[in-house]
Amino acid sequence: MFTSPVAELFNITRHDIGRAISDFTHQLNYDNIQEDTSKVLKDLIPIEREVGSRRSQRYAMRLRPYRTVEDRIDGTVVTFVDISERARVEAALRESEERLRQFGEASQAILWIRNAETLQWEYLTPAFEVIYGLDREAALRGDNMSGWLELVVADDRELAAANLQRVRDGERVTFEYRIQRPSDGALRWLRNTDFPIKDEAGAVVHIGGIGHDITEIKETEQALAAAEERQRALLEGIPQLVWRANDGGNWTWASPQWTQYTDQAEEHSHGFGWLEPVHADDRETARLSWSEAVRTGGFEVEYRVRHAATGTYRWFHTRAAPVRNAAGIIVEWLGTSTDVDDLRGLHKRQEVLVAELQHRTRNLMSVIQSIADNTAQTSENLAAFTERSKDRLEALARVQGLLSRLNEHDRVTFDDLIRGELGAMDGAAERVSLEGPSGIRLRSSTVQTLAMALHELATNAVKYSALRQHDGRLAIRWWLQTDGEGNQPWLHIDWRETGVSMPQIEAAPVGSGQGRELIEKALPYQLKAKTTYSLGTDGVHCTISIPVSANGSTFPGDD
Amino acid sequence: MIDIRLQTALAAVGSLEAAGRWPDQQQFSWTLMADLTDKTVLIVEDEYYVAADTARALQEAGANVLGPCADKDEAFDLIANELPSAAVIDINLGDGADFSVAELLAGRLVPIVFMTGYDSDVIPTKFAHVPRLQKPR
Repeated sequence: MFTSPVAELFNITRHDIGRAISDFTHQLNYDNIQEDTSKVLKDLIPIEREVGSRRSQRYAMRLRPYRTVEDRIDGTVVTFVDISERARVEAALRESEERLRQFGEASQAILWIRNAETLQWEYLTPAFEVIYGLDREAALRGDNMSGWLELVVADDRELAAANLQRVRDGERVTFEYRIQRPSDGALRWLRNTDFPIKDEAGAVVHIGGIGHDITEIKETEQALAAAEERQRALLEGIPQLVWRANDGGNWTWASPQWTQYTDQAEEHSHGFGWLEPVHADDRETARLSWSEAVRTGGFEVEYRVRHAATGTYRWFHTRAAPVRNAAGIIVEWLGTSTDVDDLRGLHKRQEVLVAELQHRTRNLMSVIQSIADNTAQTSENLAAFTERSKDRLEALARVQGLLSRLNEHDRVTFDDLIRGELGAMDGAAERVSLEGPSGIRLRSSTVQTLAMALHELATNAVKYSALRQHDGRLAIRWWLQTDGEGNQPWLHIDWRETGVSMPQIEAAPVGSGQGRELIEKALPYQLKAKTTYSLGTDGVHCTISIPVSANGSTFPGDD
Repeated sequence: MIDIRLQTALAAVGSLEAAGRWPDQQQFSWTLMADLTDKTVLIVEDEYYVAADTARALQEAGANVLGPCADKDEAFDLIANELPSAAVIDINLGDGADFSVAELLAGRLVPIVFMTGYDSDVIPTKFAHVPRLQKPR
């Protein structure tokens, strides 16, 4: 016999009753029904199998011996229970679990589940080993909650434990903490998202967690912050005033240096506010440069900016470079203004010095020319001309030497000058007496003419009178008169020769030549000097008086 | 009105520079030909010998020399007494370039010649046309 659903599995009808089951084709993926039946009849032990049909149904099949009321074995009872639905659910579950397992295995984040009561791990994915550098088995050993907390750096331990407690209380949390890897001591940053897993009654039974290694992100963030800090320090540390502007000089930002220098609030510099501290005479130039910049793609100009601390305007060299987008369009300008005031001052001073050098050099050439002309006029032949020219040019060179060794505020002093001039004369030192204060400073433009006059006197003395004749003596005295004519100090020089036999000096050219012209005409003309020159009975007597300024140099305002 | 002959004469003095020569005895025929008779020429020059040479050259051309003087205060005093027909001025009288005497004379339409060791870039634009005698030659 059979029940009607069996007809769906076996192609049988009522008329087939009595025929062997093996005579029929069926829908089952199961071909051993004959053998299993024989086995049941022989062993009297039921057989249970799960078999599928070709229509994707699952059946729990049971074969058991059929025992009659007379306790006689009279065949086999085969029952089929359709378990397709259950099988499908189970398969789906298995598949789902497998998928989840694969996710867990593949995840670079650590997935874990703890028992909410004991806090012990019940599930932990392999990513743990990569991140913690620790074997999972080792991690799970013993009280793995306290073992894990040991790995968290001491400073973050309290935070980690507190967050776990919040999850136990039903909250979902996200927090960041550091662990120290036991294998290499490296610090790793982790971001955890932990959540409660509840039972049907709503009690937290498990804690789920996702731990994400964010060390690289953190390091990048820190490097970025450090780079930004460095850039800021650089921008604010350079001595230039730095700013940003849109086209046309419309400022959008000014560095703290700008505010510090101009005392203008940063936001007040925006737009064209920056023109306010710019010198009124330079604003037009600054504006024009901006209209140029838009056209040429470059900005470079010099203008004055008011220095708030001193209330003075200083020159700044201002440059700006355009910042272009990928399409080459100027999106903004980055500019710097550099204080070039000192540089300009130096440049100006240099120009003055160069001009002064031209003046002095050409003046010196004039003097040399005059010396040559005058020497030529008073020399009887070429040999005399050569000797006297050489002598005078050497004197001139000595003066230039004295002047060129000076620093900016130094002056040649009179005693330097007279000693230098007499030192150039050979010997006869014992016949010369010098008497006067040291340190009387001479104006640089005075030095040359005075030196040449002294040179003429000395040359004359050596060649013809006091220093040539055996009995000749030369006394040079000088002194400073503080309240001289014109309410200013005067330097008085007295040159007196004695013991000179006068007939011999009558031929001396100084009486009518260059020396005398220098003393009697050039000194009064150029130095406002008062001079006398006389041939006494026993030698030359010459006095030279020149005004000097109160601080000991002749004439104030000397450069 | 500026005397045409005087201008010519001063231009001749200026042209000596172009000839590369400072006025000396041989060159005097130039200035002699440019007759400066009855003209008063001021000389402002702090170098005695240069001043003396210039004065001699101008005197031999017939001019009355006003000065020479070595500083500008003296020059102002002289000008206050007598306005010269022309002037030969050294730009640097010991204290750097100074154009105050030139300014005063230019304001009174007195023709001037600069004697200077300076290059032209030191000369203000308003005096760019003024003839210059470079020192020394």
